Amino acid sequence: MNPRAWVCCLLFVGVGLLPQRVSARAPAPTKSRTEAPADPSPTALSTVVAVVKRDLGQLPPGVIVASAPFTSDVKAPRAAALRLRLLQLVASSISRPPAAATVSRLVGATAAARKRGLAGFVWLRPEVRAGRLALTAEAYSVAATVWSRAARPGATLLRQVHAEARLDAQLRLYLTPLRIGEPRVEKFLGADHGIVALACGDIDADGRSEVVSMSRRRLLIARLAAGRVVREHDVSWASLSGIAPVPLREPLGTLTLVPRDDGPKMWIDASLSDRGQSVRLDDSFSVIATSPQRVVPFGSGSACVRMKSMYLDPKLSSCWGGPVVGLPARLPLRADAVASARIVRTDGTSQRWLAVRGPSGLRLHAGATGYALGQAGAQVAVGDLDQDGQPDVVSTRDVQQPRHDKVDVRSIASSGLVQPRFTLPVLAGVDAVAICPVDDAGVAPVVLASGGEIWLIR
Amino acid sequence: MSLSRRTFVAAGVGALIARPVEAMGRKPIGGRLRLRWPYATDAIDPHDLFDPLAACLGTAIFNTVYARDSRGRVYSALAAGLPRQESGETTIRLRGGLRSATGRRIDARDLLTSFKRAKGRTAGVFLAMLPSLRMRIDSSDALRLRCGRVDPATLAELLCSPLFPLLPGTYDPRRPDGTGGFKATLLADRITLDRNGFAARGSSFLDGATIRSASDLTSSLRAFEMERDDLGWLGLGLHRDRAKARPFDFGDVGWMVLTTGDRARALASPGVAQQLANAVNVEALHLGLRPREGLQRGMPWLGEPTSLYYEQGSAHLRVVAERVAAQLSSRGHEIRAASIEPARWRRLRKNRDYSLAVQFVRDPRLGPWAVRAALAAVDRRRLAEEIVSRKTRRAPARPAHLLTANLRVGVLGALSVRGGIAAGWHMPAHVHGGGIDWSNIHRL
Repeated sequence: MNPRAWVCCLLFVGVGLLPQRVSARAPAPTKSRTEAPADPSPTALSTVVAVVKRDLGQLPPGVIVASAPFTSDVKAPRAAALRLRLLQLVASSISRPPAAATVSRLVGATAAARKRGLAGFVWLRPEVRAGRLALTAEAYSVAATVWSRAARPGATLLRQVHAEARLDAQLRLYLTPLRIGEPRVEKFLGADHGIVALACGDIDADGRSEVVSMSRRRLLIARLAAGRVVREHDVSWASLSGIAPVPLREPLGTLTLVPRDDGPKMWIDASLSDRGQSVRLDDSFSVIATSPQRVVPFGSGSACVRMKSMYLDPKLSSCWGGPVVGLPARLPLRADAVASARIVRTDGTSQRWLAVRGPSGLRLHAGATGYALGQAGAQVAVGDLDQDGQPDVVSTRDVQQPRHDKVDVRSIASSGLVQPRFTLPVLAGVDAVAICPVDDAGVAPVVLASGGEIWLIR
Repeated sequence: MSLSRRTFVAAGVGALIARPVEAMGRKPIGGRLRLRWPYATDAIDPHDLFDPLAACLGTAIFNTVYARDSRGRVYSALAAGLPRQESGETTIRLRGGLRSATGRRIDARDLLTSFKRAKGRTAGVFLAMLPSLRMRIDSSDALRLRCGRVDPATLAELLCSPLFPLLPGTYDPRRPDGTGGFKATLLADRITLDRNGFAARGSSFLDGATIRSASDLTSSLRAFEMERDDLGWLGLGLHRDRAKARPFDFGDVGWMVLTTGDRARALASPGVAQQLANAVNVEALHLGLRPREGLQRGMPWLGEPTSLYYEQGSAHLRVVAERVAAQLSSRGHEIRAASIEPARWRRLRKNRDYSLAVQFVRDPRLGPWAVRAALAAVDRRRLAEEIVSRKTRRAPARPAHLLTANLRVGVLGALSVRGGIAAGWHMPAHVHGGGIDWSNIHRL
């Protein structure tokens, strides 16, 4: 191996060992208190690297990897370190042995490849924009002989691939930390009344998040634009399922968006206690599968439970057949509201968090570790709003009068300290709440449904 | 008669939208309500037009196939959709998976049996709305009932009435069974309601309720005031109002009426019963009846000394009968209130073989026109059926005591579901069935 490549590798190893940035909001992270094994859920870094590797395909043996300087629409104090980290990861995934060059211009990469007598190189263009890590990878070949060099003096582009992934805590370490401050609220009219569940995500992989709402009548995919909820698709519950033999007087509904195995789109898992069947739908509301059990969110996927005495039975099982990591499992208590998210930690591992509301209040669990969050309403969401690797819980108040309702956002530090972030009164009451994926440079937005409106809270 | 399309909501949707989603926490589950009231507790018959227990408690135990929302629109409650016309015949298809509180599967055979049972009882008067009704089970679908050439809208309207709930085929009034939020156990001195795990429109929020039979109109008020009960029937306390209790008034579920039989001879003429009733100062007697307005002059009882019958088992009927007897009696024209065993009373009533009686009549909740038909059913079934079968069934709402001019029935007052509820309970009114929405009572 070229000694210079060893230097670069050593450089990468060194980068990898740099101490993690300590959060200003909580004590330095200690050994994780959770006992749940981290299951292999992809991080943003691993996602883009895997896509690049897959899409570049077969490369000439002995390519080197080089990268343009990192560009970002947010402040990135450790941009150079991120660039080197990406370089290392891509290099180790596509070339044996890993070979990277620390040049910062394409012409320099061409020269470096020629100098080493290599057939080509891969040029990376990393970027952070609109809440995503975007990585463009270009595979070039270089002329091997003097004569071919004379004919083709520069490098020849063989392939260009692109990969994107939303920012997570592991990436946020390299960027300016976010702070959950006072909320900014945008209201959108024209939502359905009586919404019982909300979800938010890029269902159709078009690069924009959609809002999915579920009322007792229908499911609706909509965009939020110009102060209006703009309908894209809808489907009536009557066309999906008959009425349940024993419905609940007060409906219990869940909406879960699940990444598909066969592409970037998402499944919509919907469950309503009024209806006999829970359904898995695609982005055009075609029914993919049905289940007589209730579907609840479970990490980045979903799980099924039965109703028992007007509550969700704690026993979780797979909904749609096939094994699911972490199942079978149990909710920590019998519940009437469940939220879940798989949150990437700063070290690149991830953890499944479950927020469960039962008769004794709201609890947040990851593995054997649990936190009691007191009394809360039946609308709850969990996610990592500020990408610090720790869960943030969005909950409402346990009130009967809508005018007393409020949204509470709290963060749970690695020490277990529960830190209130903000409280927002919602005079018409909160019908449903969800956390949207990061879509810009700021904190992940929260959406809520209230009396025919959708609120977007940033 | 047909209802416009916009008076119906989509099939299967309204069944579960009767109550808007408004609570931000979820309604607490659990608790047991305690109350007592002055009615018999040993039998309940929803097909009986004259059963006060069915009027006050029916919505807790039974469901109708169709129901009305707060705007009066009909929606399917136990059916899979609104009645449809297929090949010139109207059909109803029930929802699948229905079970009664005892776990018995319910299908179209039970709907057919319910119709037949109602026909043989006093509720059957209102089947005259559908003279062409011919029912049979669909041979290819156990959930579908074929009803003949009847108007679908009229059929749905009829099946909204609490007189026509869906009952399991083997219904026994002493062991009631239905699809409502509660399962009922009847004893001589009490009714025990327990959450029905098979409730077709959702189980109750409460674990249950205990309703004791009271011997007079003051027991409930006394028990409520002393905090032994959670609901005060007809008031907020006997001597003083219970602290922090809230009044409720959920409207009228029927009427106490005075009826004249053939043994009253000349005084059994149409209209006389109402004049007699007008002479009773119900408004000042604290009989638990809503005051009547616009009363015309009454007349005293001028017949021979006689008995005023009331059905045994109901303290409210007894109190009303005793007070009526006292008010209408005069020297040489005495009236003595006398209880009569239910089976014997039914025979006497059918044959009009009595002089005076006090009884209860339910509001069929089919519209103002149906009130007169219900009152007429006390007089003569055939007269009631004639009223029901008239093509025009629109009538302005008028006080019931002004509808009896040519009936042998006099309205003493409306039985109103009102009283007091203790702090810590939420008790809503039933949107369509009248009275208390038992299944939606919950703790605060």
